[in-house]
Amino acid sequence: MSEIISLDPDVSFCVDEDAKLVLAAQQNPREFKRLYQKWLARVYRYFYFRVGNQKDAEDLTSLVFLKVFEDLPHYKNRGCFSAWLFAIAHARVVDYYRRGFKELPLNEINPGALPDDLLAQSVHRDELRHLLLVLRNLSLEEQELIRLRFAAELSYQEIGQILNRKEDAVRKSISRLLERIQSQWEAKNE
Amino acid sequence: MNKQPYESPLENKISDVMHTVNPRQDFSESLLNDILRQKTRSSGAPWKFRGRRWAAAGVLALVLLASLAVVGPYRVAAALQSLIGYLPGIGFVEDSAGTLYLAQPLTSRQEGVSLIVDQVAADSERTTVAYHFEGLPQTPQGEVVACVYDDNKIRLPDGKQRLPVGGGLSGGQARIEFQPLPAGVKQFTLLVAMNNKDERCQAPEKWSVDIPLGSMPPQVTLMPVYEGAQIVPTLAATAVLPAVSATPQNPAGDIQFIIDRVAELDEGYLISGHSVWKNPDWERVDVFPDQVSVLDADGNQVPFEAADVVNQDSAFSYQLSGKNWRSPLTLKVSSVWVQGTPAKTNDFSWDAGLEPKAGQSWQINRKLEALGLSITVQKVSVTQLEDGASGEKTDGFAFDLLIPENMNLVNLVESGSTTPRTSVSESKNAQNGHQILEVGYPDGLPTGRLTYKIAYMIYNLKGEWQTTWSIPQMVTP
Repeated sequence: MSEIISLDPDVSFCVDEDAKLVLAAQQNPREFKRLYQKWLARVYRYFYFRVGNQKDAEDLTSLVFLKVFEDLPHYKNRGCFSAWLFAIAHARVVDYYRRGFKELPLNEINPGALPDDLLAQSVHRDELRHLLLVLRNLSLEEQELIRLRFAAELSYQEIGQILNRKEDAVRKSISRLLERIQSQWEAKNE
Repeated sequence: MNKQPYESPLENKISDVMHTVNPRQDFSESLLNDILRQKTRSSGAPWKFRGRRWAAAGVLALVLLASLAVVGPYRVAAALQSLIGYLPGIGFVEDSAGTLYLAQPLTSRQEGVSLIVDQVAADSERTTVAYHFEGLPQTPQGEVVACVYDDNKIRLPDGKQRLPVGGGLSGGQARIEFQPLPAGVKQFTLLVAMNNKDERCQAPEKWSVDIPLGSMPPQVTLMPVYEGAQIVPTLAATAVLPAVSATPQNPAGDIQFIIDRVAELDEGYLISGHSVWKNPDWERVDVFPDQVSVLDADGNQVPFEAADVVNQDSAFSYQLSGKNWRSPLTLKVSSVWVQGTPAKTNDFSWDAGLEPKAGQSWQINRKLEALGLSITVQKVSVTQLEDGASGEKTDGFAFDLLIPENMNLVNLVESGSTTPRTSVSESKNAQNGHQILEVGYPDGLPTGRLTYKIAYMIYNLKGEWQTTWSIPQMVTP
């Protein structure tokens, strides 16, 4: 299962904070904790809204961070760290599907599977269900854009690097998606 | 971590909703602890792997070994099991929705002979076709005529043909490997023919069978395969004993045998693996069934036969019979065949003159030392090589070489020429430790002062290597 993860070296827009965290972790593995704490929730959410259950999301998250820790000594700041991280995440998802696990469309994710303390947040639960109903009208690729933008909290440049698309094209795609979501959201509320 | 505000209320709403999902606290803490507890890799000279696939397998094994601590061995085992499966008659197959199969055997008949395509599997790595013949004609004496269908190709829908990349023929049974099919292609035509039809063979010379492919048929079951971290080496796996014929230049104790995959069959196991070594002058280290034994934990011999399902240099695969063996099992190797190219140039020269002629010969008597072995170039003669099939004759040189007992083959190449020459070579092992190497030159014999060197050597090394392994499903003492 060879995995070649390479990024466009002509990148000058990446967050300096990540570069510093990476360098610190490379010099002292204990410093990996800071990088981990920054990205854990985002990676987990990305997987959760992709696979639809806590257990698989945890497994995939574990594999990603183990891989990152393993490869970090060889990582060179030639691209966004976030893009490298989510390229690894994307590869893990590809493996996941190869093993026969079916993609759970967002509309099938049961809000009841969320941690118990969130169930008390009834407003959020209703809105989650509402959002999921709206998102089901998007294609899987469009759902991926939403996940990378809002679950993983990536910038348009970072998303472009992961998906090998120009930043402008990503921005326009997401903007159009949001327009559609907005009108459906408003129609739902009427 | 504070989430960043977005430009519009809708974006913030979407973000708020997605932020209702967070990793569990205990999961977060335990994962970090497990990551930081990982040991770093040990330093030292790297083993020389053959091919990118084996290196990738090594990385996968390392990552998965680490992940065992976090997600538990059985979840990872379950994941490992389903990536690759084993299909008897075909070999290892990717267990994925994208793998295509033949729905049921296909039979093509000509003149009373049947070509039966038993199974086809096409995944992202290769396309494998298994077929056999029935009804091949016999000679009046009752002997089966050797109709050798050694010309195998597939023709894609766009008309392009592909040659085999692996597999082979054995009697009337064939298992042929081709490159993976292009994306979207779900059919091809199998073309089977004889390269040199034997006059005694009365069977049809050429066959063409259309092969439609689809998803896995219900009657097909892939056997579970274990690889990477699921194959558990015991402490004894590192017990590598020095070879009897080891030399300081070639410490044969550097060779190790790695079990890559174990397929669990109905009546036994199929194992595949490869050899690794440190000597940079070696290109291949092969082992053959007669040099191998398999024992269980009680010292019982496990019957096995060569399986031929792995198509790489220095790889091996064996099908073990029976499943009630007490683990761990031990693969023992008593000798290996090494192909090596000496880094240090060992050459010899002579003056062949302007017009070398048949019958001419030159006494060389030059001893070459390479990879700890001595080869003596005794004589060079002008000769003619004859193509057995076409009868075409090619002028060349015959090198009379004195080789050590454990050497199988030495190949020589002209090293003094600035322009590479097209050549063909053939080797004959003569009496008393002599090898006659004939090198033919279709474009004409080289002339003048000629220099040759050792291109590569194939020789045998004796030793006592072993690797011990088990999978969780095996019986343990």
